[in-house]
Amino acid sequence: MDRRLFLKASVGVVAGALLVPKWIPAWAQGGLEGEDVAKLEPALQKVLGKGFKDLVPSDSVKLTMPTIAESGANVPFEIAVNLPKEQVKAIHLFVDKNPSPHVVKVETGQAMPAYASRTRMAETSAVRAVVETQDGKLLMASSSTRVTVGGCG
Amino acid sequence: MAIRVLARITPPKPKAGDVFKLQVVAQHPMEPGTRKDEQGNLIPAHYIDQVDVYFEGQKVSAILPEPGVSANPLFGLEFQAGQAGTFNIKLKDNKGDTGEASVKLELA
Amino acid sequence: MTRRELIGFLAALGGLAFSRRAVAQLLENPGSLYALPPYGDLTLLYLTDLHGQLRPHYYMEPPNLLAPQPLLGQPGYLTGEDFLRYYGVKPGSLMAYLGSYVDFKTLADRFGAIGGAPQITQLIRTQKEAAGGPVLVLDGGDDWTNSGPSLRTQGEALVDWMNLTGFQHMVYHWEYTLGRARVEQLEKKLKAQVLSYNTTDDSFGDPVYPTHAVYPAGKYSVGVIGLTYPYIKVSHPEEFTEGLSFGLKEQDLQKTVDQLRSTGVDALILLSHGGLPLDTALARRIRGIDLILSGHTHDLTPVRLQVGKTFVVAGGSGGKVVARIDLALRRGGIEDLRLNLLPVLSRALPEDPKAKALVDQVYRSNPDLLEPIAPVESLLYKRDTLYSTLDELACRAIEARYPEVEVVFSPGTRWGTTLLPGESLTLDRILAYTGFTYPEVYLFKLRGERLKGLLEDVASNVFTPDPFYQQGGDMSRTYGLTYTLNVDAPLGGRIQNLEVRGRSWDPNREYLVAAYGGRLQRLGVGVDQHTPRPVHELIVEYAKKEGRLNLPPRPNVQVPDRDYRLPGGA
Repeated sequence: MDRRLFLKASVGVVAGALLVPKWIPAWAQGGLEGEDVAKLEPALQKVLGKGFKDLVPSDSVKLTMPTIAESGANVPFEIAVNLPKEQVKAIHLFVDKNPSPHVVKVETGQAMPAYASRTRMAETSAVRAVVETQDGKLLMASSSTRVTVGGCG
Repeated sequence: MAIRVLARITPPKPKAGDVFKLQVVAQHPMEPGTRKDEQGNLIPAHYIDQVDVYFEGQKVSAILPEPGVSANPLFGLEFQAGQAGTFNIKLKDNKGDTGEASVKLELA
Repeated sequence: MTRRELIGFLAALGGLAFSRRAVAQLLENPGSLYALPPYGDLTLLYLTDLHGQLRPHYYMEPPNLLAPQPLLGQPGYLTGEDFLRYYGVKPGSLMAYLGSYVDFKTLADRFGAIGGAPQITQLIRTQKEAAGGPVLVLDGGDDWTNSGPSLRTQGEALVDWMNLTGFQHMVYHWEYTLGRARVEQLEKKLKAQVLSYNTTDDSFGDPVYPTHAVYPAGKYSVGVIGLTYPYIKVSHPEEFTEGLSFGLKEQDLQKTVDQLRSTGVDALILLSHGGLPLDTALARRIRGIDLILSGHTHDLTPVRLQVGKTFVVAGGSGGKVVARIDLALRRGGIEDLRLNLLPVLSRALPEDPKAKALVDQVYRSNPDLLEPIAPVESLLYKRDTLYSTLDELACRAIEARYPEVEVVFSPGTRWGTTLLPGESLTLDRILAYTGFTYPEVYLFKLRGERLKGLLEDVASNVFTPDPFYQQGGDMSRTYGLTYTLNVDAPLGGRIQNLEVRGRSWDPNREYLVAAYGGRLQRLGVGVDQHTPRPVHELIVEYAKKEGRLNLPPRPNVQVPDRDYRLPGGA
């Protein structure tokens, strides 16, 4: 074997390959998968007496959801509110596409303004954490979780 | 029938002023009311609809779940440690069954 | 190792095509292939996705791994000539045999069967001795299931073998299809420690296993974190994992990484069953992982990949290779990494006597596994995005038993085997691709609309451009229907020109469907008076009746946007 062949052979083996992403993931594009405001609206009206346009997207509310649910029966979520607890009246979770979008109301009271639980999700949907403040504002954080029937391993 | 409830505090002995978690788990089907049985009949909703949290006898928080909460639900709250004492958690479902648990808050 | 030996090694793997004589010499004196000098501070010996294959077998890599547009040409979707080109592998070389389907039959004759548990044990033992420093022996999961020996011993044969071979850590996926109770029972015997940051109980959500383990390596320390396949509950019947949750839990992974970093661990390794596309995506999103050992998708990376500051190595499947990874460490990370995929050439490698005794014992207790059923006259393989001749065999067997069925679904699992013309079909080989713990064939009625919706849903899982959303394996194989696949279309637009038994699809008609190895039957209405039978029994019956098996590929899906190719009939 000559040296040229050796070099040719070794290039790939020794150097390795650097991967550069070509795709732009959905989470980087700002789109909210499974958004269904028309379905959400009646639930908001019923629970809060207000509509989607009254909800103020806020950085003070953080909603942590999985990008993709392992099972729609059991999707963990965490809501953290970066406000003094005295200013927070209640925390809600809504799942746009659920048969009944309102999942829970938490009257935090003496607790810190935070809540962690697990929700059912009927299908891929936008999810909303809505915080009622003592002065009557409705602050919102949105996220989206994908639910599938799944393939095989 | 009594609903089985477990409660715990993490970390188990927080320092005064620190934030700790109060987690409550209930054994409950949380039937959403939208599912059908094998004969195609709708299974009626059966879910915990109220969780009240008391500290030293005083109500400090309340959770009002809807049928969309997962089966065997976990309810997770956070508190700031002030004084030692006992949390009592009382919950009920839409059929009137109830459950209770308590957990002691000890300070480090 | 001298330079000449090094040249020999590199050439053998990827550089040179071999003459018959050179191959014979190589197989007679394989030492040159496996004689690697000690290097660095820590050596990893990594095996993944054995799928219960204790005996040597053939395994042809997929002719096609169709990728959505943005992922075209990326590792994880490289097959055939593209694989050879990307990694600089010469056609006809040993690495070409291991990593691509090109000239498979010729190369299979030349290099022989791959794998074999006794060979792997022996290879790991000699590599441990040769490493000259600390060694970690790691298993990437999908080890205990999907074979005759696994089913007959409920996974125990594989646990015994892992103990014998000295594995120190592993992660899970298909293991759970033995059922949680059985897994926990086997864990009492298992010497390896299971690691998982993402397996949690369903009560308080606590981790069930240690999330990580830390090892000293010379002046440095190395942490290993385990990632269980995140979508076990979506991919398999839920009753297997009652009371457990998995999921990706990226935030928890980042927390574990940060915590280990803050305690001064120098290098972090993720032992992952996430699959190459997901693992490369994770490497971009999680800060502070130095190396990901990537299982699940059965990819082979002849060279190390690099995503930002993270190295990624994928370890193949079926016992084809053991990856030896020598790490030179520095404060806070990996200084350099040498990857050598050690081919498990069953003809060339000696067998470990204890492992051989174990394997022999299993087969002696189950003599039916190796009885010849029918001669194979055409190449039978499993892996491909859309179609395989082994799936064709399963579907024809189902059709033969239930002629009234219009459509058959066969699961797109990645595990399986390959049979060369001239080999005999045995139950052992049938179970190598149908070895489910839930093998029953279900008959059910499905409305046309649902049938198409189902195909769309599976296609969406497989062809979603963001690896974070991809779940499961290849596309479910179908029989009795034909369609055109539009890989890059959005949900609802991928399945076109759908026809069932030569007649155009009717959304309002009810179709009689058969399926196995999945949960599709839940979408339809079960057929009365049908007692489900295991698919492997139907295949045995069919093969016996046919007498010989000649199944040239008859692909039923057209893919106009891609160069979809199958390896000819002969």
